[in-house]
Amino acid sequence: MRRLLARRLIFVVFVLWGVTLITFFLARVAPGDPARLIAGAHANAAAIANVRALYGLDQSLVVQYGHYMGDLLRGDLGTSFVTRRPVAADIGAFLPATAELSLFALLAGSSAGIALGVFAALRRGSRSDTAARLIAVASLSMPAFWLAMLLQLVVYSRLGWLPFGGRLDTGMAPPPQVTGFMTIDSLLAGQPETFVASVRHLVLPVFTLAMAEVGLMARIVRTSMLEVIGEDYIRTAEAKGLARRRVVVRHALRNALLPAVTVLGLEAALLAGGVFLVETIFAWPGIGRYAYDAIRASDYNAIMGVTVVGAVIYVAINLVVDIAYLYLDPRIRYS
Amino acid sequence: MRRRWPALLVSALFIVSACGTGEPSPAGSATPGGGTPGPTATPAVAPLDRDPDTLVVAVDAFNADFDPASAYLLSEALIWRGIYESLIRLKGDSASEVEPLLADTWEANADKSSWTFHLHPGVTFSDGEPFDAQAVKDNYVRTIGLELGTNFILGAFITDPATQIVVVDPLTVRFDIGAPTPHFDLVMAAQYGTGIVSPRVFREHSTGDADQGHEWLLGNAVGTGPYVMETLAPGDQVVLVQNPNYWRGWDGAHFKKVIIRSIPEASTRRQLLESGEVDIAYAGTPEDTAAVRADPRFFVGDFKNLDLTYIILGAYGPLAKPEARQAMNYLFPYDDFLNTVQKGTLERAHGVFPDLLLTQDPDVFMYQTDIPKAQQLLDAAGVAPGTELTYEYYTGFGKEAGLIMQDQLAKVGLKLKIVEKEFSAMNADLTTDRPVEERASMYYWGWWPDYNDPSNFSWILFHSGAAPDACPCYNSGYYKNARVDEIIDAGFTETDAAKLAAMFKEAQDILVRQDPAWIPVGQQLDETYFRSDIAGQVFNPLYILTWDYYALSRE
Repeated sequence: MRRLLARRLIFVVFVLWGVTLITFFLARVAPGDPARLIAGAHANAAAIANVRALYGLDQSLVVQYGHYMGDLLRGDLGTSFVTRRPVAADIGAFLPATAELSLFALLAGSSAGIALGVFAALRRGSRSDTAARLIAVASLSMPAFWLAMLLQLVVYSRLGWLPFGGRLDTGMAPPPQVTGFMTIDSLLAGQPETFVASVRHLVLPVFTLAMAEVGLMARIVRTSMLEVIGEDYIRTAEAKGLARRRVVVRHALRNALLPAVTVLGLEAALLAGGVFLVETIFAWPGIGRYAYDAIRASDYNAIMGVTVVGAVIYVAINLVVDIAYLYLDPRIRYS
Repeated sequence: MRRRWPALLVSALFIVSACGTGEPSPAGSATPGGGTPGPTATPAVAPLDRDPDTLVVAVDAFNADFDPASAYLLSEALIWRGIYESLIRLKGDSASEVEPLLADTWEANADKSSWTFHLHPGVTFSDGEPFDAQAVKDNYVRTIGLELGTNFILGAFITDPATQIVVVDPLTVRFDIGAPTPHFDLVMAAQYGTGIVSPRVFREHSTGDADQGHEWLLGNAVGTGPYVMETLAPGDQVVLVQNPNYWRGWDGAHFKKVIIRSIPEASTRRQLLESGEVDIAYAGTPEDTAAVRADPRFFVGDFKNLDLTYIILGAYGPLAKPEARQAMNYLFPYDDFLNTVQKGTLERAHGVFPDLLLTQDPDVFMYQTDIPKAQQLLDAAGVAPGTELTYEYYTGFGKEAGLIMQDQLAKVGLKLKIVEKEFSAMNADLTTDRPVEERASMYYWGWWPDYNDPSNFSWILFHSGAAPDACPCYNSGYYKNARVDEIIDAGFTETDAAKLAAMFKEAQDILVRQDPAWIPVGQQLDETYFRSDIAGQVFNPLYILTWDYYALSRE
């Protein structure tokens, strides 16, 4: 395990270096001049030159990259041209909202997907199986923005069952920030009303993000389960008289989950793409909104910061997936 | 350019609009075409399950910059309009009349080259610092000296502020401009670059001469205004609360708290308005606006402001000759575009100067779509069939006009390549000098003046000194006409109103008919949505899409 971690950490360094290199140069060769935007619409040439000098934008790209990497190694992601705050502070402010949304979506989507996949596999060929597969296909085919707007119109606007937009009710004071997760922080602060509001605000965006997850996971788990339950060791377990439930959960599902775990790792990363859109529609103040504004304003440091942090999260998730393999299938050895 | 960034997902918006959400009444909600709109006789009000003393505003985005020396975006002004005040301001819905604010009275000398303002006594900033003539001078010396963007507004008249701004006594400040400046009162009522910050900020939060508190003011604000900032959550919401020591007091009906929420998606803003969660919302698509307008629970603005939308024509390449640019004007299908695409949210522009701008000529030459005439002019200009032009716009603003022009150009045998850019990229294209082959032939853009003055409006858009080869300004079509330059320059100091009007009538004719600079498309209407129980709203054609929070209340 230690060797695996050491090898992965070396790999992480190269991945992150590659990410910074590509993002840095792509952001800068794209059209747009942040100095003009920072200086203001009527700023004169001297003021724009001052801004360029202030942010080091007048230096060669190689020198700028050198400075950026030097700062990055010291943990400094630079200052956002738009918010004028340290990028690390901005990410610290925006990321928890995205993390809370993504985590709940991942948990809800994968749990429901696994359950649906197992249910369909155990009833292969039945009407229930057909229905489950239809649900899976429908959830996969439904674009997130369309579903979000449907929920907005029906659940929020027509039925008035759940709130829409933001993390809390309008005017409700957020709890003191500890984790940045509104649900947890409100409980820590002993504010049950805030907790209920935060959960209610999470439902629709989580449902929107989780839907695609449900379909994908259900299809993979169903296929995988069908393979596994045809294996000799399952028949042996059944022949030994083990309870059906125990056979399914302990023997079949555990082995069928390997491909699902792989997909889960990839899905966690892909979720970031969906989050951008869903955060916009649901007015969710997360990292997607921040990144969108950064890209529009050629806010180099913010773009770099979001990309680097995203890459770190992606690599970390993959590492967790690799470790999960070891737990799920003791036969796996990383050479 | 203080245009707010457009909401994304335009296609998605159309889907929602097509779905329909409200239950529009056949009777239109009544919003007077100007002045003070308000609810009609109908008692219908959207539900309100929250604190009635809190005003909630939904905008597409806000930015945090509370430094009057640099804050030049609408998305910033909509916050600090509640925090900062200037000496005087535009009166009600007028673009050319002013009224007292921090100054009670003011006067100019005979030739209007020196203006004196008498300040209201007993005013303090929200940090307790007294407001006086020295505070005024400190602010404007700083704003002009820092050159962070808004310096252009006062700096066009005051180049040596330390000398030209004179503290006569603690409650009297004089501006010695040195040249006749007949509309300096309008300059002082500009929304941008005139706000006054507590000088304590410059002393206690400065990191140097180039800063003077600038960095601190990017996240903080201390003014004399009615509200102070309680919390700022970038990308989410800003909360303003009453300044308990506000000098105009809190008698009468006022909101205790103002929450400004960032809701980029237009359909979400509309939903929140309809459900009662917000009181004021920026307009969405023309379809949204039509639906909200038809709902008696709301009133929708229909107020013409000075924001002009136009297509810049490059005076180079295929459109170098005036005849070619005249042809573009004859090709544009004005009525179809305004009615079908804009659905009445833009009013046809009368030339290159917006209505309500001083000296605007109502009898200006107006083009009518005429394809044969355009063909004839293109032949005269020597534009060969098959020539490809380029049209550039930024995401969310101008695509439809480009598609329409593409179709129109095809009718005269020309091609149009449409290029979409992000806002910042297009902003750079407009203000950066580039070889002719790298420039677009047309750009879709918009502008409004800082204050109501034809020279202020024209210089940055038409003067040869404002072309990208001279400065990073917005004469992006490299328009050069010696007579227009002459008129613009003279207009800054012309005190004879009739003469000024005659000069700009001539300029307008040159810019529209003889040697066109643009295709003037339309003049923007403020179509902000309001709950019908919101009182006190007065639209002003220059304080565009921002609100006087102190004047608003709930009925």
